[in-house]
Amino acid sequence: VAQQADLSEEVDQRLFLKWLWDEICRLPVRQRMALLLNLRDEGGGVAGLLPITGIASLRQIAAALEMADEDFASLWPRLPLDDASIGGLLGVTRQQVINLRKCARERLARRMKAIDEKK
Amino acid sequence: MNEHLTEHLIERYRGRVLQPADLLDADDHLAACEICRRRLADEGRVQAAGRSLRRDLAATGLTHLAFEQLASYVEGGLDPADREIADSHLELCPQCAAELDGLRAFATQMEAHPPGEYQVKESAPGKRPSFLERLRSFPTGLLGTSEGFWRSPALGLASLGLIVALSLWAAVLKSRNSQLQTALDGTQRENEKLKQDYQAAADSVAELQNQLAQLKPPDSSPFVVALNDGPGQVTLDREGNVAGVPSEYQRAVKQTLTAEQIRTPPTLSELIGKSGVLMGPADEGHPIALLGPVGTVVMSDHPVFRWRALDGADGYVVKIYDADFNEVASSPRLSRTMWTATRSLQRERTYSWQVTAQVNGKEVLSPVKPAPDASFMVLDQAKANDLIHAKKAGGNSHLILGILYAQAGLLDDAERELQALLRANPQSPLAHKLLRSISDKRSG
Repeated sequence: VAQQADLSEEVDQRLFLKWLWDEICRLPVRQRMALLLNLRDEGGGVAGLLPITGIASLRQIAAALEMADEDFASLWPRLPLDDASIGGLLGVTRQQVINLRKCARERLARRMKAIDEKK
Repeated sequence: MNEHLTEHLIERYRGRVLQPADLLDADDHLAACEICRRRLADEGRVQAAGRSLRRDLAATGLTHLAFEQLASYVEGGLDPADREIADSHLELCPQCAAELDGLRAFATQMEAHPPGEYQVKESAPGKRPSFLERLRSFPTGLLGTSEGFWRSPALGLASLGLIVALSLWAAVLKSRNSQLQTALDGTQRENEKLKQDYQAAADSVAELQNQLAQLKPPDSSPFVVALNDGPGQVTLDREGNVAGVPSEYQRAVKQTLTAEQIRTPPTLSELIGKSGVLMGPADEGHPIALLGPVGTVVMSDHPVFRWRALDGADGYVVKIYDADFNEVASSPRLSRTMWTATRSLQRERTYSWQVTAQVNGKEVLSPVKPAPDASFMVLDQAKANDLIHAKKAGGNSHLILGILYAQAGLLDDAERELQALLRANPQSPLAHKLLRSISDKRSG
């Protein structure tokens, strides 16, 4: 029973990450970058989990960020980036990066809530 | 990339130290290979990230636009990024959208009256005042001494509009304040609950630590060696009995655990002698750093060749030579830094290989004299079959596979298994020693 519960939890969290990736791809590109390049949790950067879970390859992430594969591969070791660096890539201020990410999170939160309410 | 990622490559991927081209090569393989993805993925970490992000999103509420943002939006003064930020929020927030509509209506009313009809403080000389400046100046006009303001019926109407707008604004602020207070109360309640949960968890941890201390075996362990390995444990007791290993491998395991080092075949010394130390950064004689196979035996008769990207190179060609330096295979022009031999090489034969890079129309060859050859040997079929059998019969034992690979001269594979053994026994001096005995061979 415990093993089944573990498996169910594993599947559940992977499905959530897949859903999150799909939703991030639906965001406007500036919000996508502000969120994805800084995506982190208590354990550190989260973007690194996408290729090793089979959710998105580096090349797919690069395409989502509208960056060349090699450029993104060069950024990879530095992820998650700080807001000033993301601002430099986007040509916006640090505060605008924070606000863009906030918008992205608001949108994702709204979509997640809508799904949870349907269940 | 047909073969699985080596443990060395996995470690470098995990450590984020791969060069961009190598990283993309590895990623291409990962995209197609679930086995290697499983080797890399820490399931606990994936689940924790999923839970954390979900919790985080669930706690995300709307942060309303500031008055200045709305006013700038109305007068078209936002740059594209700020405009996107505002649009994005307005799509989700009916409250801010209603405030924006109110401000727009008010701005339309103000547009009907030139700034001369009321006092504007902040506008630069000769520049039309912004909506925000005009709005800020309005109370002075309303309460001040300008007779024209009160005598103008149109402005009287505008002031009435302003009063209505301000009343609405105050109502909105009051409602927002009440919502914030409710949210704050909820957060405080949640905070209290989290504190209680934390205390309960801390108590449980202390209790478990107590139980663990009681369960610990006494110091007089009957084993001289106990290694976590795969699903079980390999032990060697004081009488020299090995347990946790299939009988056919007990002798090799006992010999290794007793000697605290792993035997390698004499052919390996010859290969390493021919190859010298080639791997690592490019240096004299190695303008391109060769990653492998170098100074090792390989299992596959279609080996995979890897090297580090050379700055400015727009293509590579790999050539394989036999012991008499006759060319036996050659790659097409490659854009990547790896190639799998397309024809099978003869087993029990020694080969060497070179890679040529095209840089600005010139060819750069590696390795070149006086550097040693990049030699390797293809494992004979009988031993290859034994290793394939061991993979199945050894019950995923990293120790057994590490020993057998090393004894067959497969240094890369042996290192990978012993690194896995070390990860399962990070405090074991023996696990460190076994891995070092292989690394030392490589460095000559």
